[in-house]
Order: sequence, then C-alpha cells, then structure tokens
Amino acid sequence: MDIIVCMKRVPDSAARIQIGGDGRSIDSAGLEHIISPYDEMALERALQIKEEQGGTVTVVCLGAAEAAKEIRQALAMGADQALHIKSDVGYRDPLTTARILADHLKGRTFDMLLFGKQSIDADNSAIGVMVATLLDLPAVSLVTKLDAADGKATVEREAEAGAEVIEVALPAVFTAQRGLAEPRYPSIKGIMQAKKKPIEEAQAPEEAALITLEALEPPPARTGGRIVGEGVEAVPELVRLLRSEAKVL
Amino acid sequence: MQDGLIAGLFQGRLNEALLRIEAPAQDEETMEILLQSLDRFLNKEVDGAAIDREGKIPQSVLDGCKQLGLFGLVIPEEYGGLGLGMRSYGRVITRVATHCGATAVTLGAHQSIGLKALLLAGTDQQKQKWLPACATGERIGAYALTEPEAGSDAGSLRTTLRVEGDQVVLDGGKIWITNGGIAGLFTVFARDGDEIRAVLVPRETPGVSTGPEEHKLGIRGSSTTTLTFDNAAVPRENVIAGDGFRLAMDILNSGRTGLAAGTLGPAQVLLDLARERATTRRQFGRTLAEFALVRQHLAEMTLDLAGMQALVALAGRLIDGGAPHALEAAAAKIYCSEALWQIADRAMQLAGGSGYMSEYPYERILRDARINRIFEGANDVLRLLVALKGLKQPGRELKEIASRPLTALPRLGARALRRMRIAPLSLENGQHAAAQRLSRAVKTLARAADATLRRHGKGVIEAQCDLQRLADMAIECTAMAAVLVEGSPYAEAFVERGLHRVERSAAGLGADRDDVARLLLKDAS
Repeated sequence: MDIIVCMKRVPDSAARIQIGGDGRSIDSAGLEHIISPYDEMALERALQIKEEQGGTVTVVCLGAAEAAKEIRQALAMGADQALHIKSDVGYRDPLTTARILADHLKGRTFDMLLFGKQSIDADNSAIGVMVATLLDLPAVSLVTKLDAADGKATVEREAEAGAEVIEVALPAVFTAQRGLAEPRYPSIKGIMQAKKKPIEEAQAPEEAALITLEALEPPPARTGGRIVGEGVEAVPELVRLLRSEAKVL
Repeated sequence: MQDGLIAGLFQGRLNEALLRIEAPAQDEETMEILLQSLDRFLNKEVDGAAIDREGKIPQSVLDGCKQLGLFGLVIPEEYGGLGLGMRSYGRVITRVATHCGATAVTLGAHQSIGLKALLLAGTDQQKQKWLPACATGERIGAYALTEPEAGSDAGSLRTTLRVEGDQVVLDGGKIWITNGGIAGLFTVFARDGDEIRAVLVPRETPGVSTGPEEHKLGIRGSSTTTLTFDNAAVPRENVIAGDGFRLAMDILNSGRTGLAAGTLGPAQVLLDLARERATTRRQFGRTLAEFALVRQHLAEMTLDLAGMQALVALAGRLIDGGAPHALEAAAAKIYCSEALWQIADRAMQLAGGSGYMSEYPYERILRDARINRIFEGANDVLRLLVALKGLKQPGRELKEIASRPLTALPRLGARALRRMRIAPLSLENGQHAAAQRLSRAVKTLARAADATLRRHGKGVIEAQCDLQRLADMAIECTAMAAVLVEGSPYAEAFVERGLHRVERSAAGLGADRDDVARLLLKDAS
C-alpha cells in the first residue's frame, strides 16, 4: 500500500499569535511551528497501515523553507520520503493551493492520498476535496476510521447524527477527523534515521491570486466571567442573563 | 598514561589542550528535533509532582520512554541503541530531570551504570546477547555493588561467587539497588576468593529475589530494593572478564557525568522560579530583587549554575574526546550535587512559606536533590579520591628529590619555576584579569599540594581535613577554567569568587582551625 500524506506547517496551537506590521500577516518571530494536528493524525494512520501491511508513506508539504523541520519530523515518525514544494507566499487561496498540489501529485502512483480535514490556521476545510476533484478521484471527508485491503478501503465518516460506513475503490482521497489515530512521538531512533531519508525539493510557481487577504484582526478581548450568586436562588437570574445578555438561550 | 587535567593542576600545570579538547561535533539539527520531541512527551505525559506523590512512575511513562528510545541512548547502534556521546546523553538527561528527578534517575541508573559493565568490558557475544533488549527497555539494567557492610568500602563486599561446572553460583545480598524492582538484568559484583568479579544476572534466575520498595526522602518514584542471591546459578559466560573491582570503579567514574548532567535541569528550574519570585513579589513597597540580600542569593545561584554547566560540558568533552576523565567527572559530580543543594536551599528561602508547601515544586526538588551527594560515590570519599590521586605525582617527585638531592637539583629548579609562573589561559576576549586570577589559583593549589606533602609525609593519607581542602581547591580551579573556556557571561565574577575560595582553603591548610574534632579532643585531654 503506497500512501501519500499532505501536511502543512502551522503555528503551534499553544502559541500566542501576533499580527505583523502590515496588518495582513502573522508575525512569525519566535513563533513555534508544528505539523497541523489533523494532518498528523492522517500521517499516523498512514504509518500504522504501512506497518501492518507494508508499502511506503510519502509526505508532501507546500510551504516555506523552514518547513524542512516539520518534514524531518514526519520522516522521524516513520514516513519514508518527502516532497517539499517550496513557497515564500504567506497567504494563498485554497483553489490555488489545491492546483499546485494536484500538479505535483499528477503522475505519481499511490493507493491512498490523505489530508487532515482542515489546517488549524486557515481552517478552509477545502484542500483535500479540491485536490480529489482536480485529480478526478473519489473523496471521503471527516474520516474517523480507515482500513484498506484488496484495492478498496472501508471507512467510517462522521455525519450529522451518527456515522456513515463507506466502501470506496482505491486510489481515493481521505481527510482525517479527530479520532482516526493518536499521533506517536517521533522516537529518537526515528529522528536519527530521518537524516538519511530523501527529501525531494520543488519550487511552487508564482501565480496570480484568486483571492487576496486584506486584513487580519485578533479576536475581541475576552471579558471576565461573573458570579451571579450561589445555590438555587441564583438560577432565575442566571437564566435571565443567559437569555437577555448572552443570548444563548 | 597521560596526566588528566586535574592531576596537572596539582603540579601547577594548566593543560590548555585538555581544557579545550574538541570532541567530535554533535549533530545540532538532529539534537534539536530530538529535544523537541522529548519536550512534547515530557510536557504531556510526565508529571513529576504526581510521580513523587504516588511514589511510582506510571507504566505509561515507562512505556513512553521505551518508545522514544530513552533506554538505548548510549548503546551503540549496532546493538540496537542510538550511540549518543556523553554530551548528547547529558542533554537528554538534563531535560528529563527538569520534569522528574525519579524518571531521570531510572534512566540514569540503567545506562550510566546499570549496563555499563557490558559496554566497557563485555565481549561482542555478551553484547549481542543482552544489549538489544536493554536498548528497547525490555530489560532495564541495574548496578549491584553496595552491601550492608560494603558501602564506600566496596572492596569488602561479601556476596560470593563459585564456579560449578559451566555455571557460576551466587550467594549473598545487596542493598539500595536502584531499579531493583523493575530491572531485568543486574550487573552484580561478587567475591570469588580474593578476586571480585562482575556477573550479568537476569532477573528470572532461580534463587534471585528482590525485596519490597524502600520508602525514600526523594526520587520517590524511582525503584530501590534489596537484591538477594540464594544459590543463584547463571551460565559461566555471564561473567565479565577482568578485575571486577576495577571495573566497578571505572563504571562509576564515567557514570558520574550523567548524574551531574541531571542536576542541571532542576537547577535551571529553581533559578527561573527564584528570578520570577524576586522580580514580582513585593514587600515594603519594593520587589524582592531590590533588596541586597536577595540579590546576593540570586548572584550566588547564577554563578553556581554557570559552574555546574561548564563542568558538565568539560567532563562531556573529555569523555567524548577520549581523554582521561575520572577526576574531572568526580569534580563535576561533587560540584554539581552540592551547588544544586545550595540553589534549592536558596530558592526555598526566597520563596518564603510557599517554598515549604508541597503545592510548589521547591520542596520536592530539594528532597530529590539530596541523594546526589550520597550515591555513585559519596562526595566526602570522592574528595579524598581527587586529592590523593592529585598528590600522586608531586609526592613521587618530592620523594625522588629527597632521596637523591644532588642529581635532582636541576629538576628541582624547573619544578619550582613551574609553580612560580603558570602561563595564564590564552583568552582573546579581554579576560586577561580573569586568566591571571585562574593562574594564581592554580599556583596556590600546586604550592599547597607540596606543603601538605611536606607537612604530613606518609601520614598524608590520614590528613583528611587537609585533603578535603586540596580537593576543594582543585575542584574550584577546574570550575574556574571550565567557565572561562566555555565563554560564560559570568566568567569574570565566577573567577573572582573562585580565587577567593581557593585562597580561603589554602589559608586553612594545616592550621587545624576548622578541624573541630581535633579541638574537641584537645579539650578532653
């Protein structure tokens, strides 16, 4: 089973994000980066399948030169090889991103192409299914279970009121939802071996933007909580405030 | 064999080549990813306070350590390990110790000493057989030397070993065995008549048993038990060739650097806490840092940590560079374990009441820190080791001069000259004054060594108060030199403090001023 996993380098979810001087980018000075968590879950499941039945796992990353570190981490977790499509563009709309990825994936043979369901910085939830469309492949999104054998995959997909069980012929595209797999820590041995694994490099084209990002704004500052009273007597007031002030009831 | 750095100091020689020895470079990029992965694991899975409270490292933490490869750090790659050098190993242990002393001790006891006999003196066959399982953590190692009657005096151990056909049979008992409860492979030192031998004893050997977990002051999550042999037979090929006592000492000599590296983690944690406390806590309308006595504490802690880091770095470079390192590792162990204790004490003092409460990490780190001054060679005994080994060459020279005064005359001159003029370190960054101070300190040590030998003659071995002073001077000189070559921003202040300490030790030599036991005896007679 040959599996390709697309992964994105994103700011650490625990990091405090500062908006840069231009008002439309993130100030990356001193910012820790990680593999986007859903991508990492997809990678983990790919590695598990490889370990169960053999094959290869290739990671593909479209991102800045600095993403080499996250790529190495993916290799340390157990991926066999990588393709790094280098790009200095900070913001790129989803369709353009999907086209670049699809251009590089065209002509490669694989049984499964995995994505996270979304990146945790841009949150478009679009790339995986867009790439599938561009490659004319079937796609299943929000996958919480994924098994593959004999040229087809059996997956569970999170749906509004429960789970869907789907069977799909391979090759196919899947996007990972939380629950698919718990990512491993790269073992030290894996880290040492990652040095010797090949990273193929390519350059992303400079293309006309379909969408431009005009401004970024931090979320409104959170106001402090309030204790409206204690015990049963406080309930009517609490309900009133939830209804009239917070407007959640 | 080449004189080590500290042996040179006793002779008034500052061996700059050793001091600046360049070991093969570490792969920084790999280390960075490795430490980041380790930090993620430690932050998420390892709760030092909970481990201390429960008195046990959860299986999930041990499993995580195994999965990450933390049990195979120093085992060569061909035996399934990672083959890290001492410096890289030390950095990993430092990180682990930042989060949990007990986990650091468990990993350290396994590979700093537990399986070191195999690494240092095992045959390829023995290594093939045992090391792969040690590297995965499937068999955790333990070092079994101490007995009820054989602590610092390890040579008096009583566990026996006798050959029966193609087996060796062990009888006796060991105490304070770190990892005793979880180990799968014990390196046991036992007596075969006049000889001491090292034997590899797997846990499942019939006749081998371990006692219940000891309750301890600190590192409470680590396992410490007794170990008993009742007609325990293992194949003869489990015996490690060579003098077992020598091997036991060699293991400790190299293992101590790992222990020293482990002190850097908690020391940094405490210094950060103390700085934070001093700059945020206000009393009498001022921050604590605005009070001179508080600043004094912070300054001493800062210098102590600089000395610790420099000594661990130096010992690591000496070991990785293949240079003599026994005394230097002992110096690092003594200095680091005592400086950490001081730092823990000061940090607790600055924290006031909070420092004493279990809600904060101070008291746990203080309890965990105490063992470092006791195990892997009690500091008092290590001081005697440093001093007596250091005095060896000066003693030999003085003896030769005394027996053949005329022929020795030219050498006597050269010798005296060396003690008069010690070339200061070649430092490019305007630290001339610091280099001069170090040179003065080394001169003071070399003269003190000669004076001590002359004063006590053959009785020098029993002159423990003076030996301790010499050891203190040598350790301080080594720390000063290490801090200078490491390029620490605190080098000037460190060297100034160091010279003061060295001169104070020298002033006490032979004066019996602080030899309290002797004062008591004088009164009694």
